Amino acid sequence: MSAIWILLYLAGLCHLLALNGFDLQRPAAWLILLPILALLAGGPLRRRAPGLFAPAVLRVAGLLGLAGTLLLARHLHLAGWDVRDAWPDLLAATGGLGSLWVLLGSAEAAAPGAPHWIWIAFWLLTGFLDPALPLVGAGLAGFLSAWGLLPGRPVPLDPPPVMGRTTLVFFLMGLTLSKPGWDFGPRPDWALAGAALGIGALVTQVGPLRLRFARIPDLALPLGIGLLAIAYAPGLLLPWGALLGILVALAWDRAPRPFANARLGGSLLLGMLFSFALHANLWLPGLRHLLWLGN
Amino acid sequence: MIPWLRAYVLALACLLWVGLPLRQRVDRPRTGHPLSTAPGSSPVQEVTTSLPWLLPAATRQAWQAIPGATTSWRFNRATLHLPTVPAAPLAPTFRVVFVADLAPPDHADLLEQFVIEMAALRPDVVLVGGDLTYAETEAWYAAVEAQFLQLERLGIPVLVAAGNHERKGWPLFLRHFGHSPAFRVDIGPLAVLTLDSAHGRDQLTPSQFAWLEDNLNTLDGRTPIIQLHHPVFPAGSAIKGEAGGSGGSLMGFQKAFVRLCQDHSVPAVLSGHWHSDAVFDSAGQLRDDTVDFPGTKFIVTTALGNELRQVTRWPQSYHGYRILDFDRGRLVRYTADEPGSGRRSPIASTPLGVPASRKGTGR
Repeated sequence: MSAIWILLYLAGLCHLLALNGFDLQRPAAWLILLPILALLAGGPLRRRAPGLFAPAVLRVAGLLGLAGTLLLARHLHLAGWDVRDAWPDLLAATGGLGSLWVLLGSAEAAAPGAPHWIWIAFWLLTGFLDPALPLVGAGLAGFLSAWGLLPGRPVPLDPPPVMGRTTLVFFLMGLTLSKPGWDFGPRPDWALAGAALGIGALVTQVGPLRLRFARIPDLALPLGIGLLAIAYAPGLLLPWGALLGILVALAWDRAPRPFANARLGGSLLLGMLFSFALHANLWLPGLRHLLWLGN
Repeated sequence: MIPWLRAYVLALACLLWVGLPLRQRVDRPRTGHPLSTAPGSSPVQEVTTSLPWLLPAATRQAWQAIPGATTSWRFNRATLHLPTVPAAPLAPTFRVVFVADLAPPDHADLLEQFVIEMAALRPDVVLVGGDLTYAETEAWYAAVEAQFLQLERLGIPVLVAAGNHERKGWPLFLRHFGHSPAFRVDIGPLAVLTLDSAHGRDQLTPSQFAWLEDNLNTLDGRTPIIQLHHPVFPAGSAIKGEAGGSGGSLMGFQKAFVRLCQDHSVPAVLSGHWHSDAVFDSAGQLRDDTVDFPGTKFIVTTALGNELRQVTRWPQSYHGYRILDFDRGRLVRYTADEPGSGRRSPIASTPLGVPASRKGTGR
């Protein structure tokens, strides 16, 4: 569920905001920050108030998460997000909070498996139809988990300490994930890279390949993901996405369990924000040559 | 396995709920995105539908009724390929007007004046090079679109590029001027390539550059001209002050872009953004010495209605637009005459006439 929520909802929301703009001078825009704040503060809240994460509450949250993301996608489909309108902010916040609540209440004991990566590939591909649709994938997964319709069980454990390198890998993941979005802008082709990412991740779960991929040293993950941030070419979109997917899946496999949502999700978000800042400041000497091959 | 199958059934139900009733967004033709009309060109209509591979019944029937037309799909993007426009002798002359940095609402009369002047001038096409509104309101976007519609009703196609100010009201821009900021229209002897230089925050991005390269490789004998909001070159040694910080130029793929223009003999690259006139050669030198130099002309045009600035040493400053004349596909004129002398200025655009409402106000 962590990979689903972070890659579909969190990354999807960042993509939508980068595409349509984000104006914190409007009070309604602050609503969007609620799921992000909850991601960062959810762990301690769960320890102090476990009643807030009781199965009945999670079911309601799951329902709200699905309703919020569905209504948001229907509202935005073919029209785009008018940032002066408060309604999408409210729906995005409801959908995000609801599905996140389920994630926080059911910390996962195992790394995402093949079905999770197929789910991610499927919903990232729907981004071709509309960039708001991947968020529905997170909302629906949250709903299904909360109602016991997807395999998984709550694990009431605190996450173990996370090593610095894992944090770095998730930061670099955020930085690299957003490249196709910056490149294609309003064109939907970025979604193909997303689908390729899911398929690449799926490959790491296939029987004999799984053992081979397990031999890849940890150091290769930050190096590989960082290199893909530079070696991006739209002509090689699918192999690029698949390669990134392999590294993303390995990173998720090797992250300590239960998954540290706040720290690693926060690192990925920070990476995306940093990526936005880098690509918005290409006037800085040397930067544009580093960020786009051939520039 | 069963839970996941159930999940996908629900996923499909969700997609149907979002996409039904079946609806569409017309991406082309629409205001700012006309059909290709050049003899020998292959015009296309494009719609994006709410569900993949499904057209609303009315559109499906209308498309099926067009003889010789074929439909192709890319998920939910449907393209109707219309029959090739029959070959016909081209008129020897072809006139393009380029305009950028239009008027904010309090200068609406300048935009109206422009439309009046176009009605008299009757160019073959008007290119609008970005920064259309300066006000992120539905009413003003609708008002600007209405002015362009007036030109289209006069038979003057309008091609709209996105500028940096469009990012502030991006959903409004998309709603009124389409979701494909980079596009090609073949018209008269020209292949007009419109780019979105603010696409990746004041730059071209790799995918758009690749799109440009592909199109320049398939010109089919047409003369390419390119419009994008940002000037390709900085003012360089010709700089004259900060110009309110507006002297920015293309950041992404600038050198490769210039090389591409040289390789494909692009006669003119048209930009706005500076609110002042300038013309550069392929080496990035301001050419205020002559109107006749070899290679691509990188032409920057003053604002139609927003605040005027001086970015380079070129001293003239007024609201205006640029007229480009082509003779059998060859660019023969891109500057106005110097007032009084009748000689061609090396840089000047055509001044906008004073609107009737401003006469006597000391503008």
